[in-house]
Amino acid sequence: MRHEHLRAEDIIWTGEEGKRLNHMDFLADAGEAVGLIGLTGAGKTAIAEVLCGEKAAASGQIWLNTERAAAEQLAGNGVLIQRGSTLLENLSIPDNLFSLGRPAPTSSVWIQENKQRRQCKTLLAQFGMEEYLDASVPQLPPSVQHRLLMVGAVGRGKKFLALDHLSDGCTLQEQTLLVNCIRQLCGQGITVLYITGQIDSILQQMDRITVMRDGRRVKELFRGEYAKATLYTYVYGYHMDLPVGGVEVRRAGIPAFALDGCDFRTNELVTIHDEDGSTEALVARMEALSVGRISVLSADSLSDCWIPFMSVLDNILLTVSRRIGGPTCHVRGSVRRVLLKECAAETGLTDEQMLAPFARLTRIERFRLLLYRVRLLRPDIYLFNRITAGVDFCDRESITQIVSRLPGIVLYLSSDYAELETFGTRILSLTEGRLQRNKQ
Amino acid sequence: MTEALSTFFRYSISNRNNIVTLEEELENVRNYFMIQQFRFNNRFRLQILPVPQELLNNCRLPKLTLQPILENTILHGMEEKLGPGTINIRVLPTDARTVITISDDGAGMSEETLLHLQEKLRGDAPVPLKRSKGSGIALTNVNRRIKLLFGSDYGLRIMSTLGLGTDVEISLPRSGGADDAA
Repeated sequence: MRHEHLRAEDIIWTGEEGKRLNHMDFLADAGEAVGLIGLTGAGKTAIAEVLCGEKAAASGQIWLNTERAAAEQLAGNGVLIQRGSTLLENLSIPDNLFSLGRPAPTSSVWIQENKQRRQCKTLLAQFGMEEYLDASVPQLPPSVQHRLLMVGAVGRGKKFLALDHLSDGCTLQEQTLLVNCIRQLCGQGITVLYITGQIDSILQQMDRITVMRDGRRVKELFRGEYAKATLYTYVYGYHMDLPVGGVEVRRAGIPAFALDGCDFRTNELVTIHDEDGSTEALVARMEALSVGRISVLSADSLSDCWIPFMSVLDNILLTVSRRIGGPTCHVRGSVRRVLLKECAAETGLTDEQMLAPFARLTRIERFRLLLYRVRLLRPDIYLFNRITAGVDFCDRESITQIVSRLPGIVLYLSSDYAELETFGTRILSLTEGRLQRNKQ
Repeated sequence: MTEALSTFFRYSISNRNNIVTLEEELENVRNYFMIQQFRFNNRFRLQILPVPQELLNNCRLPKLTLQPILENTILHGMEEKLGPGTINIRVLPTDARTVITISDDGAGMSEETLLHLQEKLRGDAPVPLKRSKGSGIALTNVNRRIKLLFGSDYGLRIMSTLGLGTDVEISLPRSGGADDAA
C-alpha cells in the first residue's frame, strides 16, 4: 500500500510580481519520484518552497503524512536544493553534512567529531560516495556537491527533497549519477520532487509527472503513459500543430528546417527579436520537433557551466567525456595533448592559461572557450539567448564578430532591437514561443 | 444493449443502498458507456486501468458518483470533438485515500469556465437552481455528496486545458472508510 506523504490543495501564494500559485494542488507518495515541469514563471519553485516550509501559503491546506501541517513542520520534513546551492567551502564534508542546523557540541568535541565522521562515512558509503569523505569542497564539481547536499539532507532526517533545476548544465554521466541517487533515495522511502523546465532524460525516469501552468496543476501523468509531444502540449497549453505548422527538416538540402513558416538555411545567421521572453518555449518546440541538436548559450553559460577552480583544459576534457560518454579519467594522455594544442589554437589562449584555473579568464576569453566547447558537441543549431546581457560595449562587438563567423545555423536572440540591426541576415520576431515572419 | 439498459435503470432507481462498492460503480459506468457507444456509433473508447480486487470490494462511495462525471465528459468534452476520443479511469489507492481520476482527451474547457467551475466546487460561487447544459450542477452535486458523507477533506478536483482534455479527480477516504459513514 502506498503511503501518502505530502498533499497540498488550493494553495495560494502571492509574490512581489503577483499571484504565483493560484489554487495549486500537489500530491506525492512516500518513496515516489515526482517530476514537476512548467515554463518559467509557472510557479514550480514557489510550490517547492511552500512544500519545504520556506514560504507560508496565503491559503490552502497541506497534509504531511495525512496530518494537517504548518510551515514549521514542513521545514523539518523537507529541503529545497537549488541549482546554485553549494557546500560551505571552509567546512569539511562531515561538517557540511551533519553540523548544519545543529547546535555546536559543547563538550567532548573530539569524540563528537569522530562520531560524526563515522556517521558520515556510513552515509556516504550507502550512496557509493565514500571517496568524497575527505575531499576539499572547492574542488568538487557542482553536481557532486548537489548529490552530497541530497545525501546530507537525508542524514539530517529530511524525508522530502525538492531538487530545483539540478540537471542544468550536467553531463550525461552526471545525469545518470543524479538519477541513481534519486532512485536510491526513493528506495529508502524519501520523496523526491525533481523540478525542471525541460523534458530531459531524468524527468522521464520519474514515477509521476505534474505539469504546471500559470500557478496551477494542469495535468498529472505517470511514467510510460505519455509521449514527449503530449507533455509539451500540456506545458504550453495548446497543440503544437505538428502536422499543420509545416515543420520540414531537410538536412541534406536547403533549407535545414522550417518552423512556423520561417525557413532556416545552413550557414545563415538569423537574429530574433524576443518580445516577451518566450525563448524557452521556442527551444522546447524545436527540441520536440527534433529539428537537430541545439546548443543554447546564454550569458549565464559564461560562468555557470564551468568549474572555476578546475583548469581550463580539465573543463574542456569534461565536455569531451560527455561527447564520448565515458568518465573524464579515461581520456587518454594523447587526447589531452591534442586538445591542448587545438583549443589553444582556436581560442587564442596560451598553454599557461590552458593549465590555469578557469576563473582567471576574462569574459571574452570565456566566450571563445565556450564556443570551442560547444563546437565539440557538434550542434546543428546555435541559439544565443541574450548572450550579451550585462556585457560592456567593447566585448559586445567582439562577441557579435565571433558569432558572425560561426558555421551552421545560428539564431541570435536579443530584446535589444538596436543590437540586432547591426548584423545577421534578417530579423524575426518571437511572440508566445512562436516565430513571426520577417519584420523587415 | 437491452441488458445494459435494464441493468443501468435498475441500478439508478434502486433504493436499496446509497453507498455502493467501487466494483458496482464501475459496472454501472460500463453499462452507461455501452449505451452511449450505441448512440455515438463506437466513436469513443473507455479504458479502466486495472484495479485490485480487494479495492473493488472494499472501496465504498456514494451511488452514482462516477456516472454523472462520465456523462459530463461525453456531453461537454467528447460530443463536440471530431473524431475518436478516449476516456481513462484510474484508481490510485494510498493508506489515506483512494483517488479515482476520470480523464478525457476531448474539447477541454476555457480558463474562465474552469475557474468558475472550480469556484463552485469550493463553494465560492452560487450553483444555479435549474439544471441546464454547462451549469456544472452534476459535478457540484457529486462533490457535495462526498463532502457531506466523508468530510471536507474529500471531494472533486478538476484540471482542464481547452482543446486538450479534462481530468476529474475524486478523492475518497481509504478503503472501507465509508463503512463508518454509512
